[in-house]
Amino acid sequence: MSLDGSFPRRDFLRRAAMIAATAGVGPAFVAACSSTASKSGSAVASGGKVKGGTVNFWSWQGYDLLTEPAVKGWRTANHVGIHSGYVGTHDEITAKFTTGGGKGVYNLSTYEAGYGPFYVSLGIPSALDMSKIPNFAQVYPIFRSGPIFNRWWHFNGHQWCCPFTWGLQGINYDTARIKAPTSYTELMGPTFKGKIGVTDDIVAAFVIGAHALGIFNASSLYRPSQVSKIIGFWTQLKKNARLIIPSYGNMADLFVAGEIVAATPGWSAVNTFAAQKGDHHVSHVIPSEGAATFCDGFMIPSQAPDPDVAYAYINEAFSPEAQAQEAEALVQAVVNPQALPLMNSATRTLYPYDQLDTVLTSRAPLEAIPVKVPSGYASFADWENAWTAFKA
Amino acid sequence: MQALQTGKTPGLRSRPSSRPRAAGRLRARTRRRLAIIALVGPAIVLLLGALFVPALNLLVKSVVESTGYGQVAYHFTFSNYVSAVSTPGYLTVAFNAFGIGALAAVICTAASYPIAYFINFRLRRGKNLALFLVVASLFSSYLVRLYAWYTILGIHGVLNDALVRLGVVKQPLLFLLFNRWAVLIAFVNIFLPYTILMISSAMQNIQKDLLEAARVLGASPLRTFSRVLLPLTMTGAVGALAYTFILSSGDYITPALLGGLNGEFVGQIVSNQFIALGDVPLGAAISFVMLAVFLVVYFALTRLERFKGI
Repeated sequence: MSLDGSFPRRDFLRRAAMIAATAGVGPAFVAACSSTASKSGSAVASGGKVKGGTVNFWSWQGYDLLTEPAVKGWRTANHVGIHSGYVGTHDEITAKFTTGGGKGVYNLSTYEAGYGPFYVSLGIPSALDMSKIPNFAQVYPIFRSGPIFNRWWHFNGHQWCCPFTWGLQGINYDTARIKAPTSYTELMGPTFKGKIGVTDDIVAAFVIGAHALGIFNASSLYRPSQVSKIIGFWTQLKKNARLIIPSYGNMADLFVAGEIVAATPGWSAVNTFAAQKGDHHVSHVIPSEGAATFCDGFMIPSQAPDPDVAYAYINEAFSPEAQAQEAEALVQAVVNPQALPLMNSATRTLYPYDQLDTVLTSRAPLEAIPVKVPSGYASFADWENAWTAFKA
Repeated sequence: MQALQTGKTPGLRSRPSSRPRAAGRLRARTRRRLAIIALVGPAIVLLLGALFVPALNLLVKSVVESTGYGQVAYHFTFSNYVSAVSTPGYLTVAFNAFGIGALAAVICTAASYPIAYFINFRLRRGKNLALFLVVASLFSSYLVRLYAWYTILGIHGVLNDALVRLGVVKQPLLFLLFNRWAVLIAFVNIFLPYTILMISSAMQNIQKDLLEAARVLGASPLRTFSRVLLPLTMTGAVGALAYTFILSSGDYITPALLGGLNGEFVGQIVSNQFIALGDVPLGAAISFVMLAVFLVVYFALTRLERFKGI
C-alpha cells in the first residue's frame, strides 16, 4: 500500500516519475519482452554501445529513465529491453542484495553516496570498468575526482558507482505567507507556533540538526551526548510544530491545503510538486547553518548477469540529453554541465550549479550512514531509537 | 444339493455379496477423501508455506543474535524480547497504539448496535439497500478516505469554514486535525462499516418476538438490550471488538497522516527494524510481542461470549 509516499524524499520521486512511467512502461515492457537479444549476453563495442540485451533494474522508480526520449530511443535503436523493480526505501536496495533475490538477477541498481563504504563492505557493488562509460568524463570534476569522489564512489582502488543525480534538503516555505527563513532556529520563534511541520526523514534530520548545532561531520560519527543534543534541537522545533510529516508527498499536500507555512527537512522538488497541485508559492531555501544533501549513482551489483548492457545503459544515462530529461522528470539536479542549456529555466534554477563546489564541500556536504561505528559513537540503530522516542 | 453347496436358494434372486458393497463404500470414501484433499489441500499448503513456515522462521530468528545488517548468529538469547518490552520509545508507542485501538474498538462496536438494530428490526423494506449504503464507503480508497479528513477538519476544511462563517470562532480551530482524536475519528470511520456488518449478521438470527416478549414481561429497553439482545449477539460483538482492535492497533498509515506530533505506531517500528536497520531478530521479537498481546486480548474477549446478561 502506498502511503502517498510513506517514505521520505523518495516518495516524491516516485510520484513524479509515476505519470511518465505509466505512459512509458507498456512500450518498455513490450520492448523488453520482444527483445531479440538473448539473456546470455550482449556484444559490446567500444564507447558503451551494445547490440541487444536486457537491463534488470532494481532501484527508485524513474531512475531507470524509462520514458526519457534520449534513453528510450537508444534502447529501441540498440534492441535493449528493460525489466524494472522499484523500491520504497533505500534500505530495500540493501535488503535485496544482502538477503537474497538480488545478486545474479539484477545488473543495474543505485546507491546514495553515504551508503557507498557500507555497500562495498557487504560486497554489493562490483568494481566498474570506466572505459565502458566514456560519457562519465563529461560530469562536473567534483563528481569524478577529488576528496568527495574518493570518499563515496572511488576507494579501495576501484570505482564502485557513477553519481548521476543529486539534491538538497533545507527548509520549504510558503512565499505568500512568510519571508524566507534564514536559520532553522527562526522556526522556533512564537510566530511559527503551530504552523510548521517536521519531516520524518531521520538522516536529513540528523544532518540538519548537526549543522544547526555546529557539530556536523561528514562521517556521521556522533557521541551519544551529541545525538541527545540533536534530538534536543528537534524537540525544541517540535514544540512549534503542528505535525510530523510522514513524507515529502504529504508535505506538498499540506502546503496546498494551507496547513503549514514551513517545513524541515525540506526538499527542492517539493516546490514543483506543490505547483503541480496548483500552489505556486512553495519555495526551498538553504539556511545559513547548511543543508542535508543526497547524491545517487549507478552501480552494477556483483554477480550481475550481462553487465555489458548495464555499462552501455549507464553510459547513455550520462549523455547531456538524458541528464536534462532526467532533471525535468525527476526534479533533481544533474551532474553533467552540458545538460544545463538543454533544461528549462525553472528546472535549472532549482539547484545552485554555479556554486556547486561550495555547496557540496562546505554548505551541504554529503554525509555517511553510520552503520558501523567505532566504540563510543552512536550507530544508525541508536539514531533510529532516539528518533522513535522523539516521535512517540 | 446344488443349492446347498452354493448356499443359494433356487428360484430366489441372489443377494449381492457384501465384499463388492464394501469395496464400493471404500471407493466412495476414497473419492470423498481425495475431493476433500483437493479442496482443502491448496489452502493448507498455502497456509503452511506462506504463514506457518515464515512465522516459525521468524520465531527462531527472534531468539538469536543480530550480527549486522540482515545477518544473524545462531546463539540463543532472549535479549531481543527484553529490548522489545523495555525500550522506552517502543513502550510509549505501543501503549498509544493499544489505547487508541481499544477505544476505536469499543466505539465502533457500541455505535454499530443502534444501526444494526434499526436495519434488522425497524426497517420493513430496503434492508439490503441499507446494508449496501453501510458498505458503500468501503468502495473508496483507504487513502482517499484519510485525505478526506483534511477537507473536513483542516484549517480551510468544511467544519472550520462553517464555524468561522457562523461567527462561532474567529480563527480556524487547529486542534481538530493532527492529533490522536483525529486518528480515532478516522479509525471509527474506517472500521464502523465492518462492525455494523458483524453485529447485523449476529442479529439476523434473533426472533423479534424475543425482544417483544421481554418488553411485554416488563423489561425496560435497557434491560431488554442487556439481558436479551447483547447476550445473543455477543459472538458478533467479540468479533467486532477483536477485528477493530487488532487492525487499528497495527495500522501505521492513519496515525502517520492524521496523528500530528504523535503519529508513530508499532508497525512503523517493526518495519524500521527489518528494512532500515536489518535487525531481523529485534523486528521479529517486537512482532511476536504484538502477536502475544493480540492473542491475550482475543482470548479474553472470547470469554465474553459466555456473557449471559446483566
